[in-house]
Amino acid sequence: MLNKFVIISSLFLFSCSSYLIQAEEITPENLKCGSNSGVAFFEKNGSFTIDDKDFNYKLGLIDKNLDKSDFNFIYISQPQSSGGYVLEVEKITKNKNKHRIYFKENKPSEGSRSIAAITATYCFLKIDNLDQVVVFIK
Amino acid sequence: MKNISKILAILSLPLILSACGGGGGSGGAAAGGVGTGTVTNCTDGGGSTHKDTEYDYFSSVYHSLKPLTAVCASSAYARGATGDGIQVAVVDTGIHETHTDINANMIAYTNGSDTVNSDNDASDDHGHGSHVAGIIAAEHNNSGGHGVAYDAEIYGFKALNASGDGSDTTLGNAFGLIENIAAIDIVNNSWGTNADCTSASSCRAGGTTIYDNWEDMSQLSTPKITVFAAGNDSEDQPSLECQTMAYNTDISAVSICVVAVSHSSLGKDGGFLASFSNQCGKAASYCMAAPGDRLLSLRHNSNGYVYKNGTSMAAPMVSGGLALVMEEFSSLTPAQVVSRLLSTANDSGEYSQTAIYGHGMMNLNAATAAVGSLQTIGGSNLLDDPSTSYNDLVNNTFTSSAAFSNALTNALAGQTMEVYDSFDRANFETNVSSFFTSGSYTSQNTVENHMARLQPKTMEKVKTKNLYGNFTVETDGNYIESSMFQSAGDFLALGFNQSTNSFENAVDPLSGFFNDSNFGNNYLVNPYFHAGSGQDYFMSFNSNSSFGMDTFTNANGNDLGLAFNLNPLSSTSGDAKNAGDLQIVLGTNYEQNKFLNSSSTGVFATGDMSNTNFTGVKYKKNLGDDFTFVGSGFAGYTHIDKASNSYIDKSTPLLTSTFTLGLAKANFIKKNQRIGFFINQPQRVEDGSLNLRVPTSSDRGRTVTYSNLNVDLEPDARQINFDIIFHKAVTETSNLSANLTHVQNGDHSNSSKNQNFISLFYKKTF
Repeated sequence: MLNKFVIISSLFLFSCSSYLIQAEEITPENLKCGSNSGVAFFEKNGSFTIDDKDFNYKLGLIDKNLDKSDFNFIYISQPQSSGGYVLEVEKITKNKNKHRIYFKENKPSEGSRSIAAITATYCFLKIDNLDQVVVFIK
Repeated sequence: MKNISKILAILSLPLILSACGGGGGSGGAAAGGVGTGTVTNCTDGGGSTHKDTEYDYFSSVYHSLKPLTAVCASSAYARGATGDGIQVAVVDTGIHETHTDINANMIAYTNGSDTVNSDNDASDDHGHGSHVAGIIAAEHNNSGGHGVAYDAEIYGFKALNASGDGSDTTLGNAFGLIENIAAIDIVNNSWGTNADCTSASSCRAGGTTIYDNWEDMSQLSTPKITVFAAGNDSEDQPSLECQTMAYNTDISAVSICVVAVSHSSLGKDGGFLASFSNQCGKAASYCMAAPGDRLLSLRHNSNGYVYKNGTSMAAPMVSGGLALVMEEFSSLTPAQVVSRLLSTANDSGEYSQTAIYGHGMMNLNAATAAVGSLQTIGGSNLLDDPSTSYNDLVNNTFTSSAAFSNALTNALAGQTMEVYDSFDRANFETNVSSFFTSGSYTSQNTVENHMARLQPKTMEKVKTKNLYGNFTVETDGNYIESSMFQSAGDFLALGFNQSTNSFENAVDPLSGFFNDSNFGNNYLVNPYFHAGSGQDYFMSFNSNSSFGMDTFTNANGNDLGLAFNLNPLSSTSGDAKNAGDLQIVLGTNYEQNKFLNSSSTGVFATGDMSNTNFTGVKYKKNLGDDFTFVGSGFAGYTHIDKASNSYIDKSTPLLTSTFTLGLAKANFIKKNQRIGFFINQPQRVEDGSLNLRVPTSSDRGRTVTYSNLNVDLEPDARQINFDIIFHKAVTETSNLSANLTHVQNGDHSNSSKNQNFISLFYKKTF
């Protein structure tokens, strides 16, 4: 249900925003996306900024060797029933001090074979002068 | 425009929310449904007593959520099953092969094991495969938890990419590699396709390379067992791969589909199908349940651990369970291993809902225990041959004579053999000695027996008639002597439970002392006629002439004995002529299904013509001054008759011996006192051996291998009895008897403690 909500609302907002906002499209300094089936990783999901107490914890769950100075934003999607999902950043825009990050989660292709573990996709980003963030996902 | 967009957004929200209101609820079964039954736990056989040298299986290494408890794994461990020697392929995202909790169980990556990147490095770039591998075979090393089959070995294959996705090519090619690795026994597949199929061809259409190579693996002479996760879509049908099992009998014979249960609070609110898990559906006949909710296992990028959910985690629980069963029972084919695990699953209560749980919850206690009755195999090498006979354990016995029981006990110590359960001929190891009961001389040294020896016999003569004429029945103490003819000198007797013998009768002044079974028959009269049971018959035709004869048979006529007695010397004592002061005995004894009075049944049976030829010398001499010397010595030569299909394969003849020496004095100090001193060695094997040919192993070709166990039957010591007996007629109506017995090396064993008995008996008749 929540997935539907996210998808539909994202489509709606996405379509409206294209003519409402004249924003600058930016490229993240660093970007790392993937998927993970650790319960601790996705039990609490959504957006995490560097100020969140869970930020370093989430980063460490993926790789303890990740340099924490390389990222300042994490997005973890709602867990899915299998692997094979891929999260990608479609674009990031900046308008004044507000960043809008547009994610797209690709489903496994029809008939594909995927791991049978509950899995969430994620992206770690480093964005210059990150202040306010609005996430859109489709 | 901004305001318009805000209004549109707000107005659309209820529509968006209402559109999300449907869906879900697809997991209910037609009847009952998940959570409608009672969760019944399997029972761990040993409880907290199940410990190995390092750990309590229920401690933290079992890990806090206890998925291993939920499947009663500790019972399998207590039986020695750890997965040792079993090799499991994990077709997944690769494996963190250097993780310190699994590296010792990893097989080096095989050529081409990374079918995603077409190289030989099946390292894990996702984490899923490492977690799965750990559930199967993480080491039992006091670090973290351990896998279900913690000594199994793991082959890693990377056929799923860093996103956990694979193709018909990557996965099918991995199957192709596995097909050609003979050592691999089990293939774990914690992946699947969320699709349906309704026939073999439509299932194959879902992935021809996977299907064809899977079928090939299943059709090998020693097929690979494949395990698949049912999938996590909360649907009433499992993954395409599980559905395939319903349409291909070669595949289904060696495959299991696994649904996940939430084990974390088993017995409280858990134990039911996990909310995410698919049900068994059309694969129910090849499906079972295992814990799959929050399982702790290996991380892929450190030596740490992580919890994961999914039927991906339940599948390796079953792969590990299969490894335990496979190791435990080398006699089972892969298909029988699968069948056994499915058949022994807990299918009561909640788990009786076949469409949801298939055969039920995996139960490793039941899977590694005997199903049906345990039986011996009747000498055949082929478990499944129609002519092969089996016999329940209780029907296989061997009760050994004390003449060699010590040697047999020593030889059988630590020796094991195989027995088989009646369900699928799963092989179990048992101690050979468990079928054997040791005969004992020393066990006869009871207070009751000693008192019985000292009790003066009272004679109550009752005259009766039968159809054939007059004769006397004498009630003597607690037993009956029936004599057709009896005289003091010319001795002719037909007896029931009668150990009388002219020689024994003549050993004054303590003949009564010899009348007990130990000294009367077994030691002095004839140790090869096993009278004294109360059901034996003894005929003695002796006279004071130079020739006599003894015969013997037991109640059912199976044992026959004949001895010729030569009496070159005889003497007269008072009015009585004795049959012989020197008697030379030559005889033979035939025992049916026995030898030396050692009886056996089933696979330890002996033939019906075991025979012992024996010779003996009995000597008695009055030395004057009321002293009488008595002595006897016997030697026997026993041939053991082999029975068909018996584990007693062959033997050498057994040489046995026994002797008794005694000195008795009447009028000892006073006229009414008698004393005797005796030294005796009970029957003992001096030389000889037998060969036991017992089943000791069996293989997945259902062939049994026997091993020879040569048993030297000569005991490690020699039992010597020392007896002093004293008798005093206090008055005409009262008697006092005393006996001191000292036994060295009881039952011919140098580990026996010496026995000492002092008996006093006083009797007054009023």
